[in-house]
Amino acid sequence: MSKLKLLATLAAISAVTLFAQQAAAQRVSGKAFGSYVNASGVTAQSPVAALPETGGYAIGETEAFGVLDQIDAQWLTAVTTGDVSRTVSSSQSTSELENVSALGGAITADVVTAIASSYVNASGAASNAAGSGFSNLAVNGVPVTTEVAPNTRVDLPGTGYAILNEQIPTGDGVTTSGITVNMIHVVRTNLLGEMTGEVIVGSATSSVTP
Amino acid sequence: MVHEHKRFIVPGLVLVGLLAACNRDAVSPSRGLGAPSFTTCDDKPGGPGCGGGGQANFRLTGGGRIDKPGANQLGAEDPTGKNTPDSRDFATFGFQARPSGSGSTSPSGHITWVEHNPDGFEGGFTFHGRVSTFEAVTDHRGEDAVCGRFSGVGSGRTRNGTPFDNVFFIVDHACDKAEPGVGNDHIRMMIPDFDYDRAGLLTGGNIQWHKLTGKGA
Repeated sequence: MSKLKLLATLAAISAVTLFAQQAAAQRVSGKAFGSYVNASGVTAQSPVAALPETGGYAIGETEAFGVLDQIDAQWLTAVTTGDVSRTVSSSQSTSELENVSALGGAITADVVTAIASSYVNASGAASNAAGSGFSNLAVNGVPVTTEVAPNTRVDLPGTGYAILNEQIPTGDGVTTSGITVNMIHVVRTNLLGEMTGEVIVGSATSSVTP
Repeated sequence: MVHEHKRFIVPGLVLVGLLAACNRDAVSPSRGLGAPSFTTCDDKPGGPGCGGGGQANFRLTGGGRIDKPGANQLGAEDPTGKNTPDSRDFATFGFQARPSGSGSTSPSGHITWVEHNPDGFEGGFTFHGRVSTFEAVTDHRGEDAVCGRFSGVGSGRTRNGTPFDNVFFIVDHACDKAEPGVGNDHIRMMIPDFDYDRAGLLTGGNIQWHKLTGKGA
Protein backbone atom coordinates (compact mmCIF):
# COMPACT_ATOMS: atom_id res chain seq x y z
CA MET A 1 0.00 0.00 0.00
CA SER A 2 1.43 3.39 -0.97
CA LYS A 3 1.94 6.05 1.65
CA LEU A 4 -0.94 8.12 0.23
CA LYS A 5 -3.35 5.20 0.42
CA LEU A 6 -2.24 4.47 3.98
CA LEU A 7 -2.70 8.10 5.05
CA ALA A 8 -6.19 8.26 3.53
CA THR A 9 -7.22 5.06 5.27
CA LEU A 10 -5.85 6.23 8.62
CA ALA A 11 -7.63 9.58 8.22
CA ALA A 12 -10.95 7.86 7.61
CA ILE A 13 -10.48 5.54 10.59
CA SER A 14 -9.50 8.48 12.82
CA ALA A 15 -12.58 10.44 11.82
CA VAL A 16 -14.86 7.52 12.58
CA THR A 17 -13.16 6.91 15.93
CA LEU A 18 -13.35 10.58 16.89
CA PHE A 19 -17.05 10.78 16.04
CA ALA A 20 -17.80 7.61 17.97
CA GLN A 21 -15.93 8.87 21.01
CA GLN A 22 -17.73 12.20 20.93
CA ALA A 23 -21.15 10.58 20.52
CA ALA A 24 -20.52 8.03 23.27
CA ALA A 25 -19.38 10.75 25.72
CA GLN A 26 -22.69 12.69 25.63
CA ARG A 27 -24.47 13.31 28.91
CA VAL A 28 -27.91 14.66 29.65
CA SER A 29 -29.20 16.69 32.53
CA GLY A 30 -32.73 17.38 33.66
CA LYS A 31 -34.30 18.94 36.71
CA ALA A 32 -37.75 20.21 37.57
CA PHE A 33 -39.60 21.40 40.65
CA GLY A 34 -42.75 23.29 41.49
CA SER A 35 -41.54 25.97 43.84
CA TYR A 36 -38.56 27.23 45.82
CA VAL A 37 -38.66 29.86 48.53
CA ASN A 38 -35.80 31.65 50.22
CA ALA A 39 -37.33 34.65 51.91
CA SER A 40 -38.12 36.12 55.30
CA GLY A 41 -35.97 33.55 57.06
CA VAL A 42 -37.68 30.60 55.41
CA THR A 43 -36.12 28.18 52.93
CA ALA A 44 -38.40 25.58 51.42
CA GLN A 45 -38.67 23.61 48.20
CA SER A 46 -41.25 21.29 46.73
CA PRO A 47 -40.14 17.78 45.60
CA VAL A 48 -37.50 17.85 42.88
CA ALA A 49 -37.29 15.59 39.83
CA ALA A 50 -33.60 15.03 38.93
CA LEU A 51 -32.44 13.08 35.88
CA PRO A 52 -29.34 10.83 36.00
CA GLU A 53 -26.68 11.93 33.50
CA THR A 54 -27.10 8.72 31.51
CA GLY A 55 -30.83 9.36 31.18
CA GLY A 56 -33.99 7.80 32.58
CA TYR A 57 -37.14 9.06 34.24
CA ALA A 58 -37.73 10.94 37.49
CA ILE A 59 -40.69 12.65 39.13
CA GLY A 60 -41.28 14.96 42.08
CA GLU A 61 -44.79 15.84 43.15
CA THR A 62 -47.01 16.94 45.98
CA GLU A 63 -50.70 17.79 46.18
CA ALA A 64 -50.12 21.09 47.98
CA PHE A 65 -47.26 23.42 48.82
CA GLY A 66 -47.30 26.68 50.72
CA VAL A 67 -45.17 29.19 52.55
CA LEU A 68 -47.00 32.01 54.32
CA ASP A 69 -47.11 35.21 52.23
CA GLN A 70 -44.80 33.67 49.61
CA ILE A 71 -46.49 30.87 47.70
CA ASP A 72 -49.61 28.73 47.79
CA ALA A 73 -50.24 26.14 45.09
CA GLN A 74 -51.82 22.75 44.42
CA TRP A 75 -51.13 19.74 42.25
CA LEU A 76 -47.42 20.30 41.81
CA THR A 77 -46.03 17.78 39.30
CA ALA A 78 -42.45 17.76 38.06
CA VAL A 79 -41.20 15.18 35.52
CA THR A 80 -37.90 14.81 33.72
CA THR A 81 -36.90 12.22 31.11
CA GLY A 82 -33.96 11.74 28.79
CA ASP A 83 -31.66 9.31 27.06
CA VAL A 84 -28.21 9.09 25.52
CA SER A 85 -27.10 7.19 22.41
CA ARG A 86 -24.38 7.47 19.79
CA THR A 87 -26.51 9.34 17.28
CA VAL A 88 -28.80 11.50 19.42
CA SER A 89 -29.26 12.52 23.04
CA SER A 90 -32.20 14.38 24.49
CA SER A 91 -33.67 15.63 27.73
CA GLN A 92 -37.17 16.94 28.50
CA SER A 93 -38.38 18.45 31.79
CA THR A 94 -41.80 19.75 32.79
CA SER A 95 -43.07 21.44 35.92
CA GLU A 96 -46.64 22.48 36.56
CA LEU A 97 -48.77 23.80 39.36
CA GLU A 98 -52.44 24.69 39.70
CA ASN A 99 -54.31 27.31 41.68
CA VAL A 100 -51.18 29.37 42.19
CA SER A 101 -50.99 32.44 44.41
CA ALA A 102 -47.62 34.12 44.93
CA LEU A 103 -46.76 36.94 47.33
CA GLY A 104 -50.11 36.94 49.02
CA GLY A 105 -52.04 37.22 45.75
CA ALA A 106 -49.87 39.73 43.88
CA ILE A 107 -49.39 37.11 41.16
CA THR A 108 -52.02 34.44 40.55
CA ALA A 109 -52.66 31.82 37.88
CA ASP A 110 -54.94 28.85 37.39
CA VAL A 111 -52.08 26.82 35.88
CA VAL A 112 -48.35 27.48 35.58
CA THR A 113 -46.43 25.27 33.12
CA ALA A 114 -42.67 25.19 32.56
CA ILE A 115 -41.18 23.01 29.80
CA ALA A 116 -37.48 22.71 28.92
CA SER A 117 -36.36 20.53 26.02
CA SER A 118 -32.82 19.92 24.72
CA TYR A 119 -31.26 17.61 22.15
CA VAL A 120 -28.05 17.01 20.23
CA ASN A 121 -27.76 15.08 16.97
CA ALA A 122 -25.65 15.10 13.84
CA SER A 123 -27.05 18.53 12.91
CA GLY A 124 -26.05 20.20 16.17
CA ALA A 125 -27.50 20.97 19.59
CA ALA A 126 -30.53 23.08 20.54
CA SER A 127 -32.97 23.82 23.34
CA ASN A 128 -36.35 25.48 23.63
CA ALA A 129 -39.06 26.37 26.11
CA ALA A 130 -42.03 25.80 23.79
CA GLY A 131 -45.23 24.92 25.61
CA SER A 132 -44.34 26.95 28.71
CA GLY A 133 -47.05 29.34 29.79
CA PHE A 134 -49.79 30.46 32.14
CA SER A 135 -53.52 29.88 32.28
CA ASN A 136 -55.46 32.90 33.53
CA LEU A 137 -52.50 34.84 34.86
CA ALA A 138 -53.09 38.04 36.83
CA VAL A 139 -50.52 40.49 38.18
CA ASN A 140 -51.58 42.93 40.89
CA GLY A 141 -55.16 42.03 40.09
CA VAL A 142 -54.87 42.83 36.38
CA PRO A 143 -55.50 39.87 34.05
CA VAL A 144 -52.78 39.10 31.52
CA THR A 145 -54.65 37.92 28.45
CA THR A 146 -51.78 37.39 26.05
CA GLU A 147 -48.79 35.06 26.02
CA VAL A 148 -46.04 36.34 28.28
CA ALA A 149 -42.84 37.05 26.34
CA PRO A 150 -39.63 35.50 27.65
CA ASN A 151 -37.93 37.41 30.48
CA THR A 152 -40.77 39.87 31.07
CA ARG A 153 -40.09 42.02 34.13
CA VAL A 154 -42.84 43.36 36.35
CA ASP A 155 -42.17 45.66 39.26
CA LEU A 156 -43.67 44.84 42.63
CA PRO A 157 -43.61 48.04 44.69
CA GLY A 158 -42.57 47.43 48.25
CA THR A 159 -41.34 43.93 47.42
CA GLY A 160 -38.95 44.02 44.48
CA TYR A 161 -39.69 42.67 41.03
CA ALA A 162 -40.58 39.49 39.21
CA ILE A 163 -39.33 37.98 35.98
CA LEU A 164 -42.12 36.09 34.20
CA ASN A 165 -41.26 33.28 31.78
CA GLU A 166 -37.59 33.61 32.66
CA GLN A 167 -35.49 31.69 30.15
CA ILE A 168 -31.76 31.15 30.65
CA PRO A 169 -30.00 29.44 27.72
CA THR A 170 -26.63 27.69 27.96
CA GLY A 171 -24.26 25.84 25.64
CA ASP A 172 -22.65 26.54 22.27
CA GLY A 173 -25.42 25.17 20.08
CA VAL A 174 -22.98 22.81 18.39
CA THR A 175 -22.20 20.02 20.84
CA THR A 176 -23.86 21.44 23.95
CA SER A 177 -27.17 23.10 24.67
CA GLY A 178 -29.38 23.73 27.66
CA ILE A 179 -32.11 25.92 29.02
CA THR A 180 -33.61 26.77 32.40
CA VAL A 181 -37.18 28.03 32.51
CA ASN A 182 -38.56 29.72 35.65
CA MET A 183 -42.13 30.82 35.01
CA ILE A 184 -42.27 33.18 37.99
CA HIS A 185 -39.02 34.38 39.54
CA VAL A 186 -39.59 36.90 42.30
CA VAL A 187 -36.58 38.83 43.50
CA ARG A 188 -37.18 40.53 46.81
CA THR A 189 -35.09 43.66 47.40
CA ASN A 190 -34.49 46.16 50.18
CA LEU A 191 -34.69 49.93 49.87
CA LEU A 192 -31.19 49.94 48.39
CA GLY A 193 -32.20 47.52 45.67
CA GLU A 194 -30.14 44.70 47.15
CA MET A 195 -31.53 41.21 46.87
CA THR A 196 -32.92 39.92 50.13
CA GLY A 197 -34.71 36.79 48.98
CA GLU A 198 -36.36 35.02 46.10
CA VAL A 199 -39.30 32.86 45.17
CA ILE A 200 -39.36 30.59 42.12
CA VAL A 201 -42.55 29.06 40.76
CA GLY A 202 -42.54 26.48 37.97
CA SER A 203 -38.94 25.56 37.14
CA ALA A 204 -37.69 23.20 34.44
CA THR A 205 -34.14 22.64 33.23
CA SER A 206 -32.68 20.42 30.54
CA SER A 207 -29.30 20.17 28.86
CA VAL A 208 -27.09 17.96 26.72
CA THR A 209 -23.32 18.12 27.17
CA PRO A 210 -20.22 16.15 26.28
CA MET B 1 -1.59 11.81 -8.78
CA VAL B 2 -4.67 13.99 -8.07
CA HIS B 3 -6.96 11.25 -9.38
CA GLU B 4 -5.23 8.71 -7.13
CA HIS B 5 -5.90 10.96 -4.10
CA LYS B 6 -9.63 11.15 -4.86
CA ARG B 7 -9.87 7.37 -5.42
CA PHE B 8 -8.98 6.68 -1.78
CA ILE B 9 -10.22 9.76 0.08
CA VAL B 10 -13.79 9.62 -1.27
CA PRO B 11 -14.45 5.98 -0.27
CA GLY B 12 -13.14 6.83 3.21
CA LEU B 13 -15.52 9.76 3.50
CA VAL B 14 -18.39 7.60 2.29
CA LEU B 15 -17.51 5.07 4.96
CA VAL B 16 -17.62 7.78 7.60
CA GLY B 17 -20.96 8.98 6.30
CA LEU B 18 -22.48 5.51 6.31
CA LEU B 19 -21.33 4.79 9.84
CA ALA B 20 -22.65 8.13 11.03
CA ALA B 21 -26.06 7.65 9.39
CA CYS B 22 -29.12 7.10 11.56
CA ASN B 23 -30.29 3.53 11.02
CA ARG B 24 -34.07 3.34 11.26
CA ASP B 25 -35.70 -0.03 11.36
CA ALA B 26 -38.70 -1.63 9.71
CA VAL B 27 -42.03 -1.41 11.53
CA SER B 28 -45.27 -3.33 11.31
CA PRO B 29 -47.98 -2.66 8.72
CA SER B 30 -50.29 0.29 9.37
CA ARG B 31 -53.60 -0.03 11.24
CA GLY B 32 -56.27 2.64 11.44
CA LEU B 33 -57.26 4.48 14.60
CA GLY B 34 -60.47 3.73 16.38
CA ALA B 35 -61.91 3.65 19.86
CA PRO B 36 -61.01 0.26 21.38
CA SER B 37 -63.73 -1.77 23.05
CA PHE B 38 -61.68 -3.53 25.68
CA THR B 39 -60.42 -2.91 29.15
CA THR B 40 -57.09 -4.68 29.08
CA CYS B 41 -54.86 -6.17 26.43
CA ASP B 42 -55.60 -9.60 27.98
CA ASP B 43 -59.24 -9.14 26.94
CA LYS B 44 -58.36 -8.89 23.30
CA PRO B 45 -54.84 -10.13 22.62
CA GLY B 46 -53.60 -9.29 19.18
CA GLY B 47 -56.55 -7.01 18.51
CA PRO B 48 -56.56 -3.30 17.74
CA GLY B 49 -54.38 -1.46 20.19
CA CYS B 50 -52.88 -4.56 21.71
CA GLY B 51 -50.25 -6.64 20.06
CA GLY B 52 -50.41 -7.13 16.33
CA GLY B 53 -47.54 -4.70 15.95
CA GLY B 54 -43.91 -5.42 15.29
CA GLN B 55 -41.11 -6.27 17.64
CA ALA B 56 -39.33 -3.02 18.33
CA ASN B 57 -35.57 -2.70 18.47
CA PHE B 58 -35.75 0.84 19.77
CA ARG B 59 -36.71 2.58 22.99
CA LEU B 60 -38.54 5.88 23.48
CA THR B 61 -38.37 8.80 25.86
CA GLY B 62 -40.46 11.90 25.74
CA GLY B 63 -41.94 14.80 27.60
CA GLY B 64 -44.05 17.78 26.71
CA ARG B 65 -47.51 19.08 26.02
CA ILE B 66 -50.46 18.70 23.68
CA ASP B 67 -53.35 21.15 23.23
CA LYS B 68 -55.71 21.05 20.24
CA PRO B 69 -57.91 19.39 19.23
CA GLY B 70 -58.71 18.92 22.93
CA ALA B 71 -59.80 16.34 25.45
CA ASN B 72 -62.35 13.67 24.53
CA GLN B 73 -61.93 14.16 20.81
CA LEU B 74 -61.62 10.39 20.31
CA GLY B 75 -58.03 10.50 19.21
CA ALA B 76 -58.39 13.18 16.56
CA GLU B 77 -55.20 15.10 15.88
CA ASP B 78 -56.54 18.08 13.94
CA PRO B 79 -56.74 21.04 14.28
CA THR B 80 -53.34 21.61 15.85
CA GLY B 81 -51.69 24.33 17.87
CA LYS B 82 -51.56 25.76 21.36
CA ASN B 83 -54.70 27.02 23.07
CA THR B 84 -55.09 30.61 24.24
CA PRO B 85 -53.91 31.69 27.74
CA ASP B 86 -57.47 31.62 29.12
CA SER B 87 -57.75 27.90 28.39
CA ARG B 88 -56.91 24.96 30.63
CA ASP B 89 -57.66 22.43 27.92
CA PHE B 90 -54.27 20.81 27.55
CA ALA B 91 -52.31 17.83 28.84
CA THR B 92 -48.66 17.36 29.75
CA PHE B 93 -46.65 14.18 29.97
CA GLY B 94 -43.29 12.54 30.55
CA PHE B 95 -42.34 8.94 29.81
CA GLN B 96 -39.70 6.39 29.05
CA ALA B 97 -40.58 3.01 27.50
CA ARG B 98 -38.66 0.12 26.04
CA PRO B 99 -39.33 -3.38 24.71
CA SER B 100 -37.81 -6.58 25.97
CA GLY B 101 -34.31 -7.32 24.72
CA SER B 102 -30.98 -8.77 25.75
CA GLY B 103 -30.50 -8.10 29.42
CA SER B 104 -34.21 -7.41 29.88
CA THR B 105 -36.91 -10.07 30.09
CA SER B 106 -39.95 -7.85 29.61
CA PRO B 107 -40.96 -4.39 28.41
CA SER B 108 -40.55 -1.67 30.97
CA GLY B 109 -40.92 2.02 31.63
CA HIS B 110 -43.08 4.69 33.21
CA ILE B 111 -45.38 7.48 32.18
CA THR B 112 -46.83 10.48 33.98
CA TRP B 113 -49.80 12.13 32.29
CA VAL B 114 -51.56 15.24 33.59
CA GLU B 115 -54.91 16.35 32.18
CA HIS B 116 -55.72 19.96 33.08
CA ASN B 117 -59.17 20.40 31.52
CA PRO B 118 -61.59 21.12 34.39
CA ASP B 119 -64.51 20.10 32.14
CA GLY B 120 -62.98 16.70 31.48
CA PHE B 121 -63.07 13.50 33.45
CA GLU B 122 -63.46 14.27 37.17
CA GLY B 123 -62.15 17.82 36.66
CA GLY B 124 -58.79 16.60 35.43
CA PHE B 125 -56.31 14.11 36.83
CA THR B 126 -52.70 13.07 37.34
CA PHE B 127 -51.87 9.56 36.13
CA HIS B 128 -48.75 7.49 36.81
CA GLY B 129 -48.41 4.36 34.71
CA ARG B 130 -46.02 1.39 34.57
CA VAL B 131 -45.25 0.01 31.13
CA SER B 132 -45.70 -3.73 30.53
CA THR B 133 -46.08 -3.96 26.72
CA PHE B 134 -44.17 -2.24 23.93
CA GLU B 135 -44.25 -2.65 20.18
CA ALA B 136 -43.32 -0.79 17.01
CA VAL B 137 -46.16 0.60 14.91
CA THR B 138 -46.37 2.49 11.62
CA ASP B 139 -46.86 6.25 11.60
CA HIS B 140 -50.59 6.58 10.77
CA ARG B 141 -49.96 10.13 9.51
CA GLY B 142 -47.81 8.63 6.78
CA GLU B 143 -44.89 10.87 7.68
CA ASP B 144 -42.24 8.23 8.26
CA ALA B 145 -41.97 8.91 11.98
CA VAL B 146 -40.61 6.23 14.31
CA CYS B 147 -43.56 5.17 16.45
CA GLY B 148 -44.03 2.97 19.46
CA ARG B 149 -47.13 1.69 21.22
CA PHE B 150 -47.06 0.78 24.89
CA SER B 151 -49.50 -0.04 27.65
CA GLY B 152 -49.80 -1.04 31.28
CA VAL B 153 -51.61 -0.06 34.44
CA GLY B 154 -51.35 2.99 36.64
CA SER B 155 -52.62 4.97 39.57
CA GLY B 156 -53.21 8.56 40.55
CA ARG B 157 -55.79 11.04 41.70
CA THR B 158 -58.46 13.14 40.05
CA ARG B 159 -58.88 16.85 40.67
CA ASN B 160 -62.12 16.01 42.46
CA GLY B 161 -59.96 14.22 45.00
CA THR B 162 -60.73 10.62 44.02
CA PRO B 163 -57.74 8.25 44.09
CA PHE B 164 -57.54 5.36 41.65
CA ASP B 165 -55.29 2.34 41.21
CA ASN B 166 -54.69 -0.54 38.80
CA VAL B 167 -56.25 1.36 35.89
CA PHE B 168 -55.35 0.20 32.36
CA PHE B 169 -53.84 2.69 29.92
CA ILE B 170 -52.48 2.52 26.42
CA VAL B 171 -50.36 5.00 24.52
CA ASP B 172 -51.68 4.12 21.09
CA HIS B 173 -48.69 5.82 19.54
CA ALA B 174 -45.80 8.02 20.55
CA CYS B 175 -44.06 9.16 17.39
CA ASP B 176 -40.69 10.81 16.81
CA LYS B 177 -40.75 12.56 13.47
CA ALA B 178 -38.08 15.23 13.91
CA GLU B 179 -36.30 17.61 16.27
CA PRO B 180 -37.56 19.86 17.67
CA GLY B 181 -40.64 17.88 18.59
CA VAL B 182 -43.09 20.80 18.53
CA GLY B 183 -45.31 20.57 15.49
CA ASN B 184 -43.64 17.30 14.45
CA ASP B 185 -43.95 14.60 17.08
CA HIS B 186 -47.34 13.30 18.19
CA ILE B 187 -48.91 11.13 20.85
CA ARG B 188 -52.25 9.52 21.74
CA MET B 189 -53.17 8.52 25.29
CA MET B 190 -56.15 6.32 26.08
CA ILE B 191 -57.60 5.32 29.44
CA PRO B 192 -60.73 3.28 28.68
CA ASP B 193 -62.03 3.26 32.25
CA PHE B 194 -62.17 7.08 32.09
CA ASP B 195 -63.53 7.17 28.52
CA TYR B 196 -60.40 9.21 27.97
CA ASP B 197 -58.84 9.45 24.53
CA ARG B 198 -56.63 12.41 23.76
CA ALA B 199 -54.14 12.93 20.95
CA GLY B 200 -52.24 15.73 19.29
CA LEU B 201 -49.13 17.12 17.80
CA LEU B 202 -46.76 18.37 20.45
CA THR B 203 -47.06 22.01 21.45
CA GLY B 204 -44.07 21.65 23.76
CA GLY B 205 -41.26 19.18 24.43
CA ASN B 206 -39.97 16.29 22.34
CA ILE B 207 -40.30 12.55 21.76
CA GLN B 208 -37.05 10.73 20.98
CA TRP B 209 -36.30 7.21 19.80
CA HIS B 210 -33.02 5.45 20.47
CA LYS B 211 -31.92 2.21 18.89
CA LEU B 212 -31.43 -0.64 21.30
CA THR B 213 -27.83 -1.79 21.62
CA GLY B 214 -26.20 -4.66 23.47
CA LYS B 215 -25.97 -2.81 26.76
CA GLY B 216 -28.96 -0.57 26.11
CA ALA B 217 -31.39 -3.37 25.34
